[in-house]
Amino acid sequence: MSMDNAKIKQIEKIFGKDNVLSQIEDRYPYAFDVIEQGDDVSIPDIVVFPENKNQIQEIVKFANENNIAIIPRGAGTNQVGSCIPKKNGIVIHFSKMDKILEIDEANLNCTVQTGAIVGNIQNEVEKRGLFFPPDPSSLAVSTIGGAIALSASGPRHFKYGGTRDYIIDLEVITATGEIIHTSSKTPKNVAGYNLTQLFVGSEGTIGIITEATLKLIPKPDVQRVMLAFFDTIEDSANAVSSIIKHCLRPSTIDLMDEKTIETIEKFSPTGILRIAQACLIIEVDGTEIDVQDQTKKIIAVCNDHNACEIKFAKNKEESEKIWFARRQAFSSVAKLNFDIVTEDIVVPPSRLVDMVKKIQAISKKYDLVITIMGHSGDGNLHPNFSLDLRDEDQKNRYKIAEKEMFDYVIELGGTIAGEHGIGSLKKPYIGMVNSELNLKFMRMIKEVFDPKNIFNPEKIL
Amino acid sequence: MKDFLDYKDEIYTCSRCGLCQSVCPVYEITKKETTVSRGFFSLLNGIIKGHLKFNKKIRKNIDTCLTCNKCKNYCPSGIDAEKIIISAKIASYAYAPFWKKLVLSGLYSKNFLKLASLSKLYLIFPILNFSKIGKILYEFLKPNIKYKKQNPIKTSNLNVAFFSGCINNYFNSSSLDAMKMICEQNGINYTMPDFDCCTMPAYNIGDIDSFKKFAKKNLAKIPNNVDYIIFDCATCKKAFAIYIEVLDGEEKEQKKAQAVWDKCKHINEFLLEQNIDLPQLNSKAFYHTPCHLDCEDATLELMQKMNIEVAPSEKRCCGSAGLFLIENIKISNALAKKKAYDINITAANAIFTDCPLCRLGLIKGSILSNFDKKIFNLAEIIVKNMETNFKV
Repeated sequence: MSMDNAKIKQIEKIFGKDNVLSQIEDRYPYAFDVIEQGDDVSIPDIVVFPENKNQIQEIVKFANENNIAIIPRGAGTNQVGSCIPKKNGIVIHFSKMDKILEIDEANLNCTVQTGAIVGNIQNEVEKRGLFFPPDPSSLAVSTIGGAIALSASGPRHFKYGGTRDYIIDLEVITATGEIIHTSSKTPKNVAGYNLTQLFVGSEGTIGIITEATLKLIPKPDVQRVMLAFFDTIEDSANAVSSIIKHCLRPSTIDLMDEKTIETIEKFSPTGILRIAQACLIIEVDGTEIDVQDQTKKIIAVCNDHNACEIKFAKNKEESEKIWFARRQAFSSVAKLNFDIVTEDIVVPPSRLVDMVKKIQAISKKYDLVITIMGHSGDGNLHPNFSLDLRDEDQKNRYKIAEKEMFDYVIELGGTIAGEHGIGSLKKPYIGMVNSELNLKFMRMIKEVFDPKNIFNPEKIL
Repeated sequence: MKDFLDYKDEIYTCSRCGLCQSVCPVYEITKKETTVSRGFFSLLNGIIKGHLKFNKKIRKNIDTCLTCNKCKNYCPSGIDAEKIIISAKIASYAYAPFWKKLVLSGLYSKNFLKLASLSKLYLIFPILNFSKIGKILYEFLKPNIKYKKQNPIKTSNLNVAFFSGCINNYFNSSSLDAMKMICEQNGINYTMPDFDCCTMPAYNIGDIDSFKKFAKKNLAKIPNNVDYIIFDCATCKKAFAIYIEVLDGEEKEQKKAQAVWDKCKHINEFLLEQNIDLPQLNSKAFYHTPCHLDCEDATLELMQKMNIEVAPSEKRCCGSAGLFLIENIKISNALAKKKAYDINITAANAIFTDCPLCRLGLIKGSILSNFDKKIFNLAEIIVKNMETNFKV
């Protein structure tokens, strides 16, 4: 269905001509987010750039009246096809609502527009000695609205939790175009059901987040990072378990497997990595004394588990070098082949070894290149399939391998989505982690908020 | 040289991670996916898949690319966006705006350029100087130095040829004059062959035939006995690097292009290598790195030797970028103002750059933002200090 001229005129009246894209050559790029879709592409009918919430209210009312789908879009960096306009419709790109409205130092919170960039929020609050910990790897471009809608997190989740743990209040536009606040701007509020958390991770399917009030915490004095290399995956996983058991709380315990290390060294040699079966990147933060103490204990634990080498950053520069190497992981793996598919599985951290071994076995069995990295402290792994999806045979092998991997995840009591969401890509598998009754309740929730199914249709459920 | 369709795999390689949004200066202004590399690649992929066809609208979107290379240096998949965009421009040349083709045909004609050089008269009759445009024009045309023949104080057996670009030749020869005076003082023989336009503007709009034609013409004009060909403009020099690529398949011509390229030097590289006496400025300056400059290290070293402290700043395009300046005037002005802001917060005393068009962008930014700072290149400063002690 494409939009007739009268409707386009109406929408242009709401947003102004400059803030509407209606020609196919302008709409086409909005048919995509990160995932590869092959030849079957569904293009949005129109793309709009709101500058204030009244415009969003009006377009939602318009869409509801006319039964047109609405697809909210932040930076389009999600990994699960959550921004794909499956039923065409109106894409709302929030790039022009990117302001940080208030940083309230007296109450340790900040209020931002939905399109504010996560990295910018972090930088601004850090200038004031405050800290917004959630750190999805796309934070240089990804928006807070997207991070909330996908319930994103990153390495620091181990100590600090994810986006969901830092939402105090949300301003949401409902399917009828009304504005609600899900809570109050206070540190506590238990008056009624927790509507805030209902919208976190809802991927724009039950309402549109327009503003968020975020919890801030004091910025740790010192952050220090170290690398621990292991000759076997078991040793590295046991070290992770020991760190958890000893109640040590580094801010991150990330894992890279041999294949990942090799790939980084191949495309962007860092001079800081060495080939080993596994490498843990551990960052410790807090006060200087605390950091020194934790570092000592962590080194002891790693040594207990046969670390073959431990390198730790003595200053900020060396820290930067290590994080640089870690950040090169994705880009290096991306260079291996035409496509990269990043999975997002979670298992109980104590079952990490089994999971890694299974992935390695699957890689062999289906002759697929899989590099493994992830947030091992949380049992959250990102196996990266690097392949060419244009090759039908490879694509089929990948699909079977993925299913086998998911089956094993479920066997271990895990889940198929830790921080990337479900979107349209993982939708077929949602039943693997949810009972029929769970799904029924979810459908009912969707029905209550969006009876006409205009909000981001064909996602999650 | 590869065709657009030869880039099929590279275009497909874009993983749509979207990180280019964080470095693209144009996206920062427009905030639209249609003006950033990921969006371009979606469109180009759409053409390859047969969903779309090249037309005026797609061309217009692609033309918002500054080819500043920021995304190329950042892209996790290592995609060379500039090469792909240029190949798309060549493939869609038929849809390039007519006025651009008209302006280019002017650049190809020396008579037209001579006529255009009459604009220098504006310096005598600055009738529009009540307006910002008038002031920008005046500042752009006004030379920083006046040519005066120099007596050699040193001897040298070097022979160099200057490649002076269109702005030097027809609008403001200050930078060329500075090179001449430095060479004269150092006893270096120079010639100024009657070159045509480097034709980078043709390359940038995808008129590859004209680009090739003028590449051959310019290469044929290089005298045999010169040791170096010296450039004051980062972009003109880049054209000579690209000559090698576009002459692929014409072995003799390509060899010549390669041999010439081996002698090409930016004036800053040349000054650094020749150990020319340098004035000591003891000042803080802002250096605007042109997107096309390939010798930033040498330039910074030269500035260090002149005791100029360079204020740290984010590298950002000034928004001039050839005809972009006219075609996307709103974006261009916004970029120029951002640049001016960057400069203003550094509290630097002067601005240096190495591209006449960047100079225009910086002038525009400073006038639009109502501040007044002089813009030089390093050769001009050396000349300014030949007789008097000139500080910035």
